[in-house]
Amino acid sequence: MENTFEIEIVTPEQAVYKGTIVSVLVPGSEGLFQVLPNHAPIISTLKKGNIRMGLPNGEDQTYKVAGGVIEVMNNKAIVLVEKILSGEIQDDEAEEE
Amino acid sequence: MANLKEIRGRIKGVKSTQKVTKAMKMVSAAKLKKAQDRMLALRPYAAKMKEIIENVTSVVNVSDIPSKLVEQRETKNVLMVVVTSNRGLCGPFNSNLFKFITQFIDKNLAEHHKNGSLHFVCSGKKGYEYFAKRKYNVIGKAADFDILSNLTFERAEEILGHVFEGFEEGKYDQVYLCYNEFKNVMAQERKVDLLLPVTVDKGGEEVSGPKADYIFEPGREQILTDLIPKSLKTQFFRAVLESNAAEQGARMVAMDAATENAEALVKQLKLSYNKARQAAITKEILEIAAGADALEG
Repeated sequence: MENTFEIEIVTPEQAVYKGTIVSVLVPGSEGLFQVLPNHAPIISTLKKGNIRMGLPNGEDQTYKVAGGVIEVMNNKAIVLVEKILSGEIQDDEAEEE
Repeated sequence: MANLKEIRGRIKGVKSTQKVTKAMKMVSAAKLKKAQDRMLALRPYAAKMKEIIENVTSVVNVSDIPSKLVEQRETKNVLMVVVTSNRGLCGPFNSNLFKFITQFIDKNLAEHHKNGSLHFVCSGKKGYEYFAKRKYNVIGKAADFDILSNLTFERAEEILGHVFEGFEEGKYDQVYLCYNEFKNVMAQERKVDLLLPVTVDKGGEEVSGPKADYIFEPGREQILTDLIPKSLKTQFFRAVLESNAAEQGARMVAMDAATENAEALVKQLKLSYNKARQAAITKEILEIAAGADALEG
């Protein structure tokens, strides 16, 4: 069974991040929750907070966002956020591996 | 025959105008590229937003949504949100839209216009000037709803915030969004879309349920309440970006035509200049010849 999944973070102005990760912690409006590979399909709204992604190389990457919505389906997470408050915006395409 | 100096002056004038129009054309071309890129950047967001909303709405009754933005009311007050450019010299870009809006009003909202329950919010100075001058009910000042000088999603949110507020308070019962849609560089399509109340598109009969067995967190209704304003903001932001790109396209075409016209004008002026010059020379020679004749005679 795979232990990574795809994630895409987009705002109305740009694509922020696209790549493969092992986990993501998002600030759901009902409370923080973590998405791991093979998570059940979910749609949840997000409130202001941090999105923390665990990258395959063991590092973490965090974005602070102003709220949005996440959809997880078939091992693919799509996060729509209205605004990135802080965090490095990735320019190039997907991560290695 | 016009005198030589006059024609020379005109040629000079037309040429310098041509330089300006040529420069403007090139500037617009560069801006157009940028505007198109921004339109493309929004597309994934907008598409995904639509998909999620469709997913959610396919299992929800519209009447269950606890959002005021879907409320259908008797149409007493109507708001038109008009997106135009801030600057002129873009051909019939704005005037075409005005004509279209006026026709739309005559056809659908003539009564509202008569009894003063038709309001305008103009994003873009040109629209503001047009409607304010013609004594339409324009809200605020030109700068209040200007977005082009600060073209960000945040600003779009801010502007639509006023609109939502007005709708929720019952100040308006229907909101239309009027803008130029970017078709290609040469062409724009004028649009008047109904923005509020939100009509939830169930996406036809074939979609009988969500694609997957989603967990909804919080409940579907709450998600929709949260997503509907977001989707409207996206829609508005898209309209602004489209209009912006279309404006640059229109200006490019208009300036290109102006440059060509200037070229033709210069050609014509040069011809008459040369004719005048020729005539003057001939006249001079005749005079000299006549003088010489007189001396000899």
